[in-house]
Amino acid sequence: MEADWPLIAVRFALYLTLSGLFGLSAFGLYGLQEVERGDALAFRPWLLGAGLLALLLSGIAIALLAAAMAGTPPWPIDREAIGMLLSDSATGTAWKIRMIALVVASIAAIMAARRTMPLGLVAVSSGVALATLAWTGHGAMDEGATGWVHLTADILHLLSAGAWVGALLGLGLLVTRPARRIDAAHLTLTHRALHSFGLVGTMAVGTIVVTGLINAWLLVGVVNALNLGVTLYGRLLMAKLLLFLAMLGLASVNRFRLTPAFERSIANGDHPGALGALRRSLAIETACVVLILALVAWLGSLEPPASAI
Amino acid sequence: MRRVFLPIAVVLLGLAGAAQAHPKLVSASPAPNAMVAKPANVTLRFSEKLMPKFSGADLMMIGHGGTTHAPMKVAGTAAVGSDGRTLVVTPKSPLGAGSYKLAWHVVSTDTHRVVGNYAFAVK
Repeated sequence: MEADWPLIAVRFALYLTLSGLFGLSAFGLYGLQEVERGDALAFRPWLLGAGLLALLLSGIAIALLAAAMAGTPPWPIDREAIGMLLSDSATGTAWKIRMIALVVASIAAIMAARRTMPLGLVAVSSGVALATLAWTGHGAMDEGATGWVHLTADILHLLSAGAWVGALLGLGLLVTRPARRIDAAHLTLTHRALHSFGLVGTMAVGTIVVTGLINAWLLVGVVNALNLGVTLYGRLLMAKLLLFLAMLGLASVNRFRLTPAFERSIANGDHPGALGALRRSLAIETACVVLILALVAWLGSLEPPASAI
Repeated sequence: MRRVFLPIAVVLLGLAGAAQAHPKLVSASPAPNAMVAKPANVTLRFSEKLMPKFSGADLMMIGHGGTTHAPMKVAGTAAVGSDGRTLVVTPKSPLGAGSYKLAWHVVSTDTHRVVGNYAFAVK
């Protein structure tokens, strides 16, 4: 079957937007103090923009998904198929919850520039919205207790990955501030934000690995390992693995080499070089994660070989 | 590096396992290419739970009396059985002798649409 590129593209954009929304609001909570937030980052336009974009993308995604499931062309919009999908499936319920959560997140984002409470509300509601993506994938298909374990693992996987993506956005915005607007306070704040992400990032990586282990425990077939290079699915997965390893490497370099070097450079009053190194490293890490999300969107849409007996 | 690599390898195995959990046709009655006496219905069993509203089938007569002809749709209904994994196609009136083609489409709870078709004959 042909790959459904429009649906893949929309899903990719949705992964990116929801991860950014959740991760950036969470980053604002753990990475920055309340008094710093307003000056450090333009939270309001980023969060509100991401919230509204996610609403739009979700609307497009449900129409494309319903069309794909009904086997009809995406245009004209098949209201009947969308109605069937929304009324009578876990995916439809998850979509409705996501839309409500995104409306809440967008409204909270308007008030969230620096205050902790609305920012926390953005983080929680966008976390819910991100978690609903688990119902559009393979996590929702097992039954009974196994199904819940699989779903929980998928949700934690999404949230950890989202925290990482959003932190990269936040840190990226901090380190790319134009030189003329960089003062001592901004440098100190940037260093502390990098430092606090060290711990959160480690937790995120740990969770990603553990939830992956749970998935493996539920679904692993050793035979699949031997066939990994044979199928397109397997090759894309291996590409994802390599990109993930690259991200881990860059994150370690950031945490153990570049961030301490940045701290020393601030003390020496010679930050541009260390900041530039961080900027390059974060840029490559961000490129890796964008590619990973594109691969995830593609992988999630891959059809199995046509069923035949 | 091993500490990182091994869990990730296992993660990938997990994902690969998930990818194979799409609906597959497990068994069918009448079976593909079988020659059977008048069946009351056609029953297709799948490996996954199906979404009833997005799953169905078209039964077409494609030949009789030893000749083939353009597919003629057979009136009937297709419904998902109570176990959620079975698609039952019930023709309005009993199937006459001839050859038939069944084109099915199912969507499982992972939202993937899978289609297939096969032929059988009625004595």
